[in-house]
Amino acid sequence: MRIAHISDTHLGLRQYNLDERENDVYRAFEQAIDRVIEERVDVLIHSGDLFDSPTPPIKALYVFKNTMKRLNGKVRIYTVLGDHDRPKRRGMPPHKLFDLRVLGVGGLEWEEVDGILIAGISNLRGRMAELLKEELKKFDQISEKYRKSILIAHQAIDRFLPFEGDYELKEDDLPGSATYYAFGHIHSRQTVKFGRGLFAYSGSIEITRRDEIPSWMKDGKGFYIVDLEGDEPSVEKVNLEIRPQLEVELEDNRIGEILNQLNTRVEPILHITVRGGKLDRAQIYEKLKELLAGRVLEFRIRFEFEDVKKAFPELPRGQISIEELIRRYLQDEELSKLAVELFKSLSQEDIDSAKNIAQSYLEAVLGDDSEKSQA
Amino acid sequence: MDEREILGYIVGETTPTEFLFVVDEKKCPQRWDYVVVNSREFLNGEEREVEVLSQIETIFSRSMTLNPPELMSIEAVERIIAQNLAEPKVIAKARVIGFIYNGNVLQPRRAIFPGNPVYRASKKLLKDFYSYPEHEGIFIGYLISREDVEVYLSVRGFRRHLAILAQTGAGKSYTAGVLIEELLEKGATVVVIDPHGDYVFLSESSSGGIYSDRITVFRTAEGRGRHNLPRKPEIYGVRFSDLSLEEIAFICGIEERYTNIRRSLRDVLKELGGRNYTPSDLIGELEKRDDEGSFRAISYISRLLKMKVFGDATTDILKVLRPKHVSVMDLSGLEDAVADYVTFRLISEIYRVREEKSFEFPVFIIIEEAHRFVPNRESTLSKEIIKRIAAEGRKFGVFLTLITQRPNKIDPDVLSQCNSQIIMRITNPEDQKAVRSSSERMSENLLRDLPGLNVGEAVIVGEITRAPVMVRIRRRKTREGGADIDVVAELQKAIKRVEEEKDKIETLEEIRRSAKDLVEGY
Repeated sequence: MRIAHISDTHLGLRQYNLDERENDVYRAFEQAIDRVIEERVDVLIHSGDLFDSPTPPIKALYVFKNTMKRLNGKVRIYTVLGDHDRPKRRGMPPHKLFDLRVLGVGGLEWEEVDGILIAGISNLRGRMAELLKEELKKFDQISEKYRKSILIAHQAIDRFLPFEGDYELKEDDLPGSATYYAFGHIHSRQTVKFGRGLFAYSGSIEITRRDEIPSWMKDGKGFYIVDLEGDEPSVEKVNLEIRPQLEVELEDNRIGEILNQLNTRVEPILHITVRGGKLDRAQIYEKLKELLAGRVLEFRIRFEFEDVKKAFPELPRGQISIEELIRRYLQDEELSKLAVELFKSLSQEDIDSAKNIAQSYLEAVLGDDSEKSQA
Repeated sequence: MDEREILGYIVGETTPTEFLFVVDEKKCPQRWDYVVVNSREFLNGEEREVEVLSQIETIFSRSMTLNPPELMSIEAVERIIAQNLAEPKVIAKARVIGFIYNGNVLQPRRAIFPGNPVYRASKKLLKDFYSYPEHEGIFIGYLISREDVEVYLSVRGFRRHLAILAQTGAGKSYTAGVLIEELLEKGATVVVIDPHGDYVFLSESSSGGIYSDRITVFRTAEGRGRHNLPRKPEIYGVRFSDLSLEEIAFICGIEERYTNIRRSLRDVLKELGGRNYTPSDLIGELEKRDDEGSFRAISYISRLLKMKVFGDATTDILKVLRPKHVSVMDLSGLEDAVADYVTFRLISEIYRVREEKSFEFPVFIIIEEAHRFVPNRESTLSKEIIKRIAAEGRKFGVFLTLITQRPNKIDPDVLSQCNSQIIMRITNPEDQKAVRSSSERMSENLLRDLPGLNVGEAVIVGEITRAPVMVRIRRRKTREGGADIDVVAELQKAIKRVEEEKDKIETLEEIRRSAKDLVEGY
């Protein structure tokens, strides 16, 4: 049996609030389904976050409907809900519109396809992770009767998120008997041997965050074709053509060099880090805007002052003054003043005055140069 | 001038060993209380005033008018009481323990005079009786009747061997644990033969954490032990080719009358002689031979294959014996024959290195469940060597402490060689009889009281103490292994566990409901 394992398609995601980015995601999805058809798979497994939200834009639904039509009903589709497309309050998920087979809402659910067990559980987080662990314990017993088995889930596992700690499962919590673990949630694709089978995050189909760039450069973005016929499952990567995103580092006095790096077919998205001693942000921003006009879809600048120590200041003994800590960290009078004022207003949840403070600061320095504005 | 508290006055007939005294009821002394009377004794040709320590053995009360009982009627008694003529008297009988002169306890030669006052014994006097100098004294507990007085035993007394006798649950292993703690502190080399894994936690303190790093647990390669240990036990192994014909025959249960089997075995061992062979090698050699004896020997020797005691090397006894160190040989989980063999091997080796003087310090061997190794009628491999040590071990500095809950099941010769005894609660009459015949120092009165002892209370007699003493054993500093489980607490735990599981299932169901509820249509 040949399976396509796709995940984290996030239909409806609109990065940087750009039409182009929303369409990029649709294009990547259409491309993926074209390849699924070419590969003549029997089963399509989507391991969650099909849509970017439980209430996606109509266009996302429309694109999905038309793309599915091309499968002509020849491919059986199984999916689970992800943390993005799971309803946040009582309601129907968009999947219902297309009568998609969604597995494992509130508990492990399974089906047999050509003698192979396909079991899945929809995303459970926070205190619901307790249920998740109990449900996963059932898997090994169920799979005993089948020669091969697949487990679908949309969860983070400690091994793949060692620094963030924001995981629901440890490796030990996973059942040991699955032939293939079709997992979603982590956007960087990876496969590892696990127990008697293969564990895989097929990853997102587009670059949804800057930190996915290194993994995209190394492993690409796309989905997996899994062949379960042999003794061990074999996995073939399918790469998609997506809009490039590049991380560029520049010295403040050699901004012009950026043009040497623009050799992509499609207008890329640039994540620029500018280093220098005394940076005139507004000037650099204006210059880059001028240089890049019409050559890139979007660019983001991050400034790194050479004299700013990156290390967090050591906590002094005794009384701690927030103002003092901020001043020592930023080592810039102007910035510290802003930070302290923002801290004061935001810690009292006075968002209006925080907005005013930010507004007047921006007016003073002119120009938006903060990567954070996307967040 | 005399500020001591008078409890009563000596009356009736007295002897140097016991006397009666009328008791001042308001002071209400109790059975086993310590009292003192003054007496004069000739010491080094000089008459001196001495304080004779005695212990109240019985107390009885009697009324002249309410007597004899067979002539009494309710009406008569009521009339006598109404007339205030009952006049009950309380009489106590005290047994003389002795007096201290130059650090020794001496028995008075003179009768104690009637009319003399009887005082409550002072704490200081009792301390003098039941303490020893620091390097000699082993702190065992407190006097039962005077819990403010610490009782010490003399480590010298161990030379003449010790027996700890008590029925199950009376606190034998606990007491042995206290002794081991004290012996270790005094610098002793201690080896514990531990058939039930009761001493494997000695290295841990009772409050958690490490008590001493000078305590090592040994196991055979086969022994899985009864407990999981905090520290990995060391392996005690024996090289199979070190075994003699007799030893092999004994372990395999080849009786002496099976001469054919023994002959074949002897021949094969001779052929193999000098090599480092395993049980399988031995079987291999026997298979090559074509006689009936060899054929039958194979089925006996095959039993050895299952015993993983036999390794490539025999553990050096000097790894087990170390100065100021306790080695616990954990035999739990082993077959009886194997446990017996290991004990035999270990004790024989200890005896050998002491006889040869290749280990320079005395060794204290503590044998728990001693009736398994030196039984009354049956024979075991280790019985002879234990008997030999009991008889002459003190010459070589090998001291036994035998612990058993079945004094009548243990070889009476060995038991009577144990000069000192720590006896705790015993109710079985057969066992009481065995205790009585093993110890000339136990008075009938003490014996009669054995069933009345509480858990953790003991009568101690013999060389380890100046005078027989009743002790409440002190608390242990080390973790216990042999304690009975607290049934009530364990059952409570089980109920709690089930409730927690129920709660968990309910919580999970609630989560499942809310997870399903959230998603309409699926």
